[in-house]
Amino acid sequence: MHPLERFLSAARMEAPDEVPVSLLTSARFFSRLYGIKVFQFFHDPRLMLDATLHTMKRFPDIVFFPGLWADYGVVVEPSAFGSRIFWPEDYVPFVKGDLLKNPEAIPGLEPPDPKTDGLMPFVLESIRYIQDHAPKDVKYLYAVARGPFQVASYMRGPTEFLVDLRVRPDIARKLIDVCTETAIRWLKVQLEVINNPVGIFVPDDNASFLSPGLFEEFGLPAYRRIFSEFDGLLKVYHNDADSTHILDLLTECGFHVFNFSPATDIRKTKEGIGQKVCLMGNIDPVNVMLRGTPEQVEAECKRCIQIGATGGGYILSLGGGPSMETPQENVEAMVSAAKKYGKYPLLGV
Amino acid sequence: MNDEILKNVSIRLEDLDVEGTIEEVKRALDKEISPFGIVKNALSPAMDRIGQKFERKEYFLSELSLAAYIMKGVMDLLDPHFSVSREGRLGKFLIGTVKGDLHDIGKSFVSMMLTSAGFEVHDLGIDVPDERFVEKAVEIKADFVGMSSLLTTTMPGMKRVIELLKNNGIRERLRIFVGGAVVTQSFADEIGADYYAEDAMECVRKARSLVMNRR
Repeated sequence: MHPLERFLSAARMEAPDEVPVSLLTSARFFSRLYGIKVFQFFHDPRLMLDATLHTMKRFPDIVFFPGLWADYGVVVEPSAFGSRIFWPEDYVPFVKGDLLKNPEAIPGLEPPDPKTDGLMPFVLESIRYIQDHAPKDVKYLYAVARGPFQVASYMRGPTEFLVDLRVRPDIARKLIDVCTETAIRWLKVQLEVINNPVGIFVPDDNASFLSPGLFEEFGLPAYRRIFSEFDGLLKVYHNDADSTHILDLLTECGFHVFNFSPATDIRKTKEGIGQKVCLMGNIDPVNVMLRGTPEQVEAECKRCIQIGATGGGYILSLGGGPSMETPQENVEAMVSAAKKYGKYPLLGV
Repeated sequence: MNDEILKNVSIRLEDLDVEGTIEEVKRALDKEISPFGIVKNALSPAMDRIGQKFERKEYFLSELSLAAYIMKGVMDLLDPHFSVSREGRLGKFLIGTVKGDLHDIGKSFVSMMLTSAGFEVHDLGIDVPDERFVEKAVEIKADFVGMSSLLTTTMPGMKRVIELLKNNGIRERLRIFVGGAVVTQSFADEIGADYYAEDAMECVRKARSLVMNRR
């Protein structure tokens, strides 16, 4: 099987010929490997494409997810609302300052227009560029929008947003509604530009900061609303905070693939949400992939495969994007571990 | 009577009752219970229990944030009374997230937990320039410096700050704490920090035991 076929088969909850290996598309990792500063990656779509293709070629057995990606980090949605953005020379951009420091500004907030506001039109143009200039066999496949909890936290301030959920629930709900609507509109506009889209990708770490009760009240309805809008597409959700306490609720959100972190136990995940949703994870990107030896990477991949891959519906991946200085030997160790321990049929442990 | 008021403060805070906690603290002040007594006998034990609930996964970051919010309101209320009280706090703790790093949540919880444990906390916020740690440590005569980093790219900032503190001749009188998702005990040892804490609760436990041993 071709690696991408293998990935899509697992995403459909099937057991492919062997466990697919995937890494998140990472401006930091790709730039370092290609020998450019991260800011250059963002500044020039040609370099963005070249660095991405270079990395794909270097690791042909890995499915980079979402693959070709006009990736500008976490700042795109906040920029469309008017947040101040900070661009370091050799790192991913940050949102600076809390746009909605004053909660009184929230009731009048409207979703931005993805075709004209902030960095969104610029991202659309980059998607067109990358799509037009990529080799024929490498397709632009996914629309990406940051989830409502991440975007709300960046604009309001993470702690302030969490306090609002209890102290000013109406205002918190309004902010979540606007961010949810923004994600939907933003995904739809990208899907109009992408030639033959396969799916959507929604990363949203901050949702796991909510207690189960708050997640049920605020998180579940927001996610159901987003994911129900895109039937017929593969829906991938990323959350690299500890999500153990909301795993049952996440099962009901309506996505197909869950990219989760080592903070969330893989056995519990497999026994619960993993029965209905494809799991993608959850090797530690820092303590194992960045700082570990190839032997440690192999041992951890073996453990994850043995627990996660039984019965299919599993993609071997990290619980987050690869760090900038991730050793190439460790990436190779991941690929060979999948070949060594991940041939189907697998016997459960 | 006073014991009952303090118990009520403690229960209200543990239950995350925003208005109830403030009301009970006002009542305690009306009864001329010292602010230090309120911190030590009501707020601090409540925060310990909140921390334990977090460790047991009965409370989550949403609850810790609310506890921080309530504590801030309470400390604003207590602050003017501290200045007239003869009892001091446990020590001055300067804290911040290092240069280039905008992570706020973990550092803010450490601030809150230290405050409730009785430390006088000076929180420099996020993206703090190296020199700012030194200037502020000199200005307030800090006893402790705590630095947070959640990115492998910003971790070296901790080492630079420690070097600067050395160069300014104040390193020796400080106890330096480091923490954050990417920081480890071996990194702390390597850069010459005194203590690594895995989470806010551990930081408070270590800092508090240092003070208790000194007294």
